[in-house]
Amino acid sequence: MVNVLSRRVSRRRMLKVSGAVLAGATVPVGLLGRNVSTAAEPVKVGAIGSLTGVVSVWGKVLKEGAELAIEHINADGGILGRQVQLVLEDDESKPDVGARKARKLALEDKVDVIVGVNHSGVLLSIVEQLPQIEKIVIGSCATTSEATTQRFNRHLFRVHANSDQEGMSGALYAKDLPYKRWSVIAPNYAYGFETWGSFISNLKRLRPDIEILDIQAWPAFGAPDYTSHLTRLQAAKPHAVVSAMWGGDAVNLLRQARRFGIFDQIAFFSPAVGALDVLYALGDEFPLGLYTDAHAYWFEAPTSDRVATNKSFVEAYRKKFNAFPHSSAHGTYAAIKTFKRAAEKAQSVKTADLIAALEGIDVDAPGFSGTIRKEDHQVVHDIAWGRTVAFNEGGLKRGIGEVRWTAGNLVTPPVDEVLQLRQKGGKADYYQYVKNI
Amino acid sequence: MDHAGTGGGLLGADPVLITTLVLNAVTQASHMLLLALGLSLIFGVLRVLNMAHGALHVAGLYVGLSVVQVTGSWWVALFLSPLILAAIGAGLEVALIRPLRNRHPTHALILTFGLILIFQDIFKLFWGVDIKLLAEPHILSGALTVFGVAYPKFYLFNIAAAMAAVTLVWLFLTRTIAGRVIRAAAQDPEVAAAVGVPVPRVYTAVFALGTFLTAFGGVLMGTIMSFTPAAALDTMLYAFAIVVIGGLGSLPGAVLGSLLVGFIDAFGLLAVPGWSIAFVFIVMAAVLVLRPHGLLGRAEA
Repeated sequence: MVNVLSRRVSRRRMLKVSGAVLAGATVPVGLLGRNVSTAAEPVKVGAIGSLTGVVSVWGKVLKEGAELAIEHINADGGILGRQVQLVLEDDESKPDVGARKARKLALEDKVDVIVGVNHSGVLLSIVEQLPQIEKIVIGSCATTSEATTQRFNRHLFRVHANSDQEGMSGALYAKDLPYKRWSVIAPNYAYGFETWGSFISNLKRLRPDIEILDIQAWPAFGAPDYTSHLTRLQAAKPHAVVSAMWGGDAVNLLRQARRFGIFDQIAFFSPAVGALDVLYALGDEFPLGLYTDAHAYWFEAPTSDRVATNKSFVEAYRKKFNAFPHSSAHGTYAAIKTFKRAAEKAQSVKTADLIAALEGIDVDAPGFSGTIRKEDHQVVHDIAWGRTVAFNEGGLKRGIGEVRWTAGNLVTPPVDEVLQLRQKGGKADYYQYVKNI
Repeated sequence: MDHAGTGGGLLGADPVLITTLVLNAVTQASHMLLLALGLSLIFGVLRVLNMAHGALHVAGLYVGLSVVQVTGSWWVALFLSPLILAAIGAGLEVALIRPLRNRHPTHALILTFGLILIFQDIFKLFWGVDIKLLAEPHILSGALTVFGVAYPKFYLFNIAAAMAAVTLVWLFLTRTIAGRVIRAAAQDPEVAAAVGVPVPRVYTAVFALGTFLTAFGGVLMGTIMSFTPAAALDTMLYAFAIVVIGGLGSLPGAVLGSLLVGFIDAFGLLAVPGWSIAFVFIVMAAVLVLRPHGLLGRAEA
């Protein structure tokens, strides 16, 4: 058996070498060097994150998640017998910088795959580049649904929930609560529009009696002062507000809203304000009773089939970085593990082979498992929402309690709907609920 | 059903909303004033546009954070952090700005811009990229009712602190001998030097005072909001808009510019939501075109 295998390998290598020699007749010498790369060369994983700017913590934890995944994979023999190496790039939360960094990773560093991306605007600009640079991105943080719907191309895969799923799961949590008058405060770009649109359109479907206010707040990403937006919102007297603030913006929003007593009057629903960076930054100042899904991963609440895996991930992460794992770290860890799985399934790290292997692949994230749909490359996994409660461990003062799970298929727009929107193009119908931009 | 305040216009909006917005505008004007006052002062005397002024503002929070860690007191941080930064400011002036005195003004501009990047790296190195903030002292938490509106005590404290700071600076410049010396050095450095004014030392002192003011504002800002190292550049944009609108080097101009920006930001939101940030820069552009020396600035000879 061993003999047969080794013979097969040597035959393959021989073919490769002869192929290279043949190719050498027609291609420049520089490319030839690439073709004869030996098996000892490392597999290169490019990661793009927002390492500077108001959401720099998201970039930092993205990097940490990548480092831990690669450490684990290398300790376990690497990918296809090769060690894995990380090449990290900062997109500065700017779409043009992100696109440039993606090209750099593909063309200069010659990475085999790109993972990460925190900011939806950046992801959308990178996605457009991918067919041209012939690389895939396994998205691990930015949630814009547009990337897997209207702007779909075969080079993007996503291993965590998108904004449609986060919004829909929030609506399912909110439908049994008494709030009737709804409004929004969210950043004025794709992520903000989609999170609100998906949430409120689904809630309206489930609860036709709700009233959606015209007074809405759409500040710019990174604008630090929300005081007057909040004053205006407060005067409109909503019962509940959906928010898609994240990073430093979320911290500023919560600080300002708390001082004006807004949380005593208005219920607050937001995926990302409950993410770990905000919980760490605000400590005791973080209001109790806010509704959140911690950006689709709360380290204390894995699905029932992932309890042991999640525990060992959380412990390893804590030991290495002295903090609990943020959703962006968790997503990136899962993205690189999924890349390994796909490469081993395909026995290759070539883009076309990876695409084929990733379509329909199972994602074994530490906290949940899911499947990447063949049609839109979006993972479907269960999502839990809960409320912020007092907590006291490892520097955290708030945790998430009253956790309730919703099955992945209930929170994901069905394939035919996605394909229809892709064909039709333009904006999703729920943009009708975005007012007052 | 209560639809108070659902209209886009100002007329018919409820008085609580309007009063709160006025208070918001004045609060924001006080932030802006503490940021812009020092910038304008430094330019007025040294004729140097200090691009790192925003970085020194943000440094006020970071140093304040470490002071709170050591002393446990926010009040100590409010004064000690600006003092430490004033000393750093004085050092920067002596080591970097003074040698560029007789060079083209763009040299100092580029140098201080470079300082922003260095400061950002220092913030990352010592305090990390995490979101940083200061907790308000207990006595200033909660709300106070003013003009029939419950308004956060800390915001009101901010307004009072900015008013006190600008009054003190004004009294210092107009009523003290040191102030007169500074004005003399600003008006004509050569004549001032001829009559025995130690001009270089005056410049260092003014740079330190300007840094003190911006760092003081930084501690207050870091208590209202939060900062990451990126704020070093972002804050500079606003400071710049204010001094351009008001007039570079003019203290009344800094006050007027701050108030204008505060009111534009707060009320622009009611008129055209989503455009209020653009308004500030539209006004800045208009001032630059129509009155290049600013609303209250003096035209250069």
